[in-house]
Amino acid sequence: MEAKSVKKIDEFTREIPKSFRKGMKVPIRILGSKRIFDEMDEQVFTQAANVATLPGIINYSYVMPDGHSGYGFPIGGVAAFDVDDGGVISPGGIGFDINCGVRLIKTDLIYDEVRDKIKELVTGLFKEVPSGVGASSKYKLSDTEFKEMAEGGTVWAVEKGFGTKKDLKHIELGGRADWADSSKISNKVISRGRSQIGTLGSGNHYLEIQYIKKNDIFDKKTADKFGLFENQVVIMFHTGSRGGGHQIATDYLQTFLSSMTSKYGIKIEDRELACAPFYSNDGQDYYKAMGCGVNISFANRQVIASKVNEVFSRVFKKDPEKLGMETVYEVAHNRATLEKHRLDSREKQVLVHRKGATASYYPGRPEIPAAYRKFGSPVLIGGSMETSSFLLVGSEGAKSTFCSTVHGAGRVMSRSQARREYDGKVIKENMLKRRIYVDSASLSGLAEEAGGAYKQVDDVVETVDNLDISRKVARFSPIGNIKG
Amino acid sequence: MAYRFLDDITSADMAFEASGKTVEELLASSGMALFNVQVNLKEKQHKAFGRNFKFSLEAENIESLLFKFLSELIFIKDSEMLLLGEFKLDVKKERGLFKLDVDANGDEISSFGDSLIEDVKAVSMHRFSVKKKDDLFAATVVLDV
Repeated sequence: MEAKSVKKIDEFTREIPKSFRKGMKVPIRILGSKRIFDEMDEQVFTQAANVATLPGIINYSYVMPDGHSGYGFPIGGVAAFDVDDGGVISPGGIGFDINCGVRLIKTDLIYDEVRDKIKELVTGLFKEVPSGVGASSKYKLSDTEFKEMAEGGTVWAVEKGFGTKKDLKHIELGGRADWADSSKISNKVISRGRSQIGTLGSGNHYLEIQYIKKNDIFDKKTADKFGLFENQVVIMFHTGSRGGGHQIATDYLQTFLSSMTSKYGIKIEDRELACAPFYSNDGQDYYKAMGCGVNISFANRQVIASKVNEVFSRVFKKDPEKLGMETVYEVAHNRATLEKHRLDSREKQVLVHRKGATASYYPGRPEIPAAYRKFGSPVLIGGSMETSSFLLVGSEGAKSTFCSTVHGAGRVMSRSQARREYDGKVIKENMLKRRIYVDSASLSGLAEEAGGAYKQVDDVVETVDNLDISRKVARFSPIGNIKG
Repeated sequence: MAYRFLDDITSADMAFEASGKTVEELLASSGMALFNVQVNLKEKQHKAFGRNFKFSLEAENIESLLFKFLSELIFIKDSEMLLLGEFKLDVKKERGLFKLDVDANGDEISSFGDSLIEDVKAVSMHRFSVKKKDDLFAATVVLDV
C-alpha cells in the first residue's frame, strides 16, 4: 500500500480515501497497529475497495485487525448498508459458512482435576463430534425435520433434547433467526445438510479444552459476572452451518449474478460481491434463506455442546449440571444482521455485514441478553491452535464500527505454504511436549493450522482493547484440541 | 491433466489454475484439482477407485459449465459421501447450450482415511475465470475451505 494513499487517524486506525479507486462511495478504515497494517496483503485493500463501491454502504468499508484476503469481502470485513435507501444484501459479505461462530462453555473444574484425564476427554470428544472432510452425523434428518431445524435453530435442538432452555439465554439472537423461511431453500440444501447436524467440519474449525492461567483475568468484575475464575477449565469450539449453509450461499450467489444487473442495474467489481437491494424480492428471499443458514449453524453448535456435556459427564461420572457446565455465550462471525444505529443524530435501521468479524455490542444495547446487558456483549476470539483464545466484552468505542470487532488471529500464510513449511506429526508431538493433547482428522490439515500460519492473537486483541471497541476480560490457554 | 495451486490469491482458502486443450480436459483438470485439495494421495498408496457416479449438466457458457461441474462435485461429496477423482467427460453444444455428461470414478470419503485434508465448502466467484489462449483453455478457481 502506497503511503500517500493512507491517512493515519490515530495509532490504531488508518484511512484510505474514496479517491483510491474509481466508484468508491465511502473511504476504507483499517484497524490495527502499524505492524498489523504493514503485514496485510495487498488483496485486502483491493477487496475492501470493492466493498466500498456497493450501493447503500454507509460511513466506511471496514477492515478489522485480523483482516486478510478472502473472496468478495476480505476476511475481517465489515460494512453497513442503508436498507431504506437501496442498500444491498450480499452473500459475499457473509461467506459460504453462514453464521459460523464460536461457543464458550464453562465448568467448575480446575486444571489439576482435568490434567490427567485430558487424553480420555479428547478421545471421547473426537469420537462423539465427527470432524474432517464430509464428516457425517448419526442423526439423519427427514425433509420435514430439516426444515423445522432450519426455522428453529437452537430452540429446535433444545426441543429435541439437546441441551437445556437455559442455553438459549446465552446465545446471540436467543439461538434463533426468527426471519428464516424454509420455503426459500432448495432441495440441494436439505440433501447436503441432512446428515451433518452435530459435526465440526474441517479447516480452521476446532473444539478445544482450555483453562485460565494465573493472571489471565484482566477484568475481574466482568469475569465474575460470566462465572470465570483462574485455573478454571472451559471448552471453546468453532464451527458453522456445514453443507446446508454452504449450499444456500452457492444457490443465491448464482441467483444474484443473473438478476443483479438486468433487474437492479447494479454493477460490481468482483462477482463474489453479487447482491440485490435488501427490500427487493431477491434480497428478501436470500435474507430468509440466510436465516435458515443461521439456524442450521445454531442447531449444529447446540448438538455439539450437548455431546461435550455428555463426554465430560461420562469421564467425571457426574451430571453436567454438577460439573457446573453452562454456556457462557455463543457468537457468530459470518452474518448480516438488521440493527439500529445512530447516524447523524438519528436512529436508523441498517444491515450490518460481518464477514470474519464479530458483533461487539456496547453496554445497554438491546441485542445483549438481559443478564449481561450492563456489561456489554461477550466477544469470543479464537487464536491459532497453539496459542491463546480470549473473551472480550463490547465497549463504547464499538459505536465507531457499527458494533463490530475481530474474530480470530487472522492468517498470514496460505494453506499450501503452511503445508510445505510444517509437518503435522511434528506439530502434534511438540504440542504434546507443551502439554497440549491434539487429535485431528488429518495431519495435513493440522500443518495448515500451525500457529506460525497466523498473526499473534494478542496483537489483534490489543488493538480492539486500545480502541475501546472490545475490552479484554480473560485469556484461555489450550490443553486439549480436536482439529477438524 | 494440468493444474497448479496458487499461493498468492488467498491466504485463508485454496486457489488453483487448471488448463486443457479441450473443454473436457479443462473440466477434468479442474475436477482433479478439487479432489486433490481434499485428498493427499501421496500420503498413502492409492488403489483403484471403487465407485462410479454419473450425472449431467448444462450451461449457457463454458465458465458457467465449469462452475456448475465443480459445485456438483462438492454437492455429491456431502450428499452421497463420495469423493470423485477420475473423469470421463463429454461436452456437446446443442441449441446454444453446453451439455455435459459426466462418468466419474471415486470412493466413499471414509475410505481415504488419513489422506483427507480439507473439506471444500464452495466454489467462489472471486477471480473465477475461463480464458482461451493459443488453443488452450485455462481456468482460475478460488475454493472456500
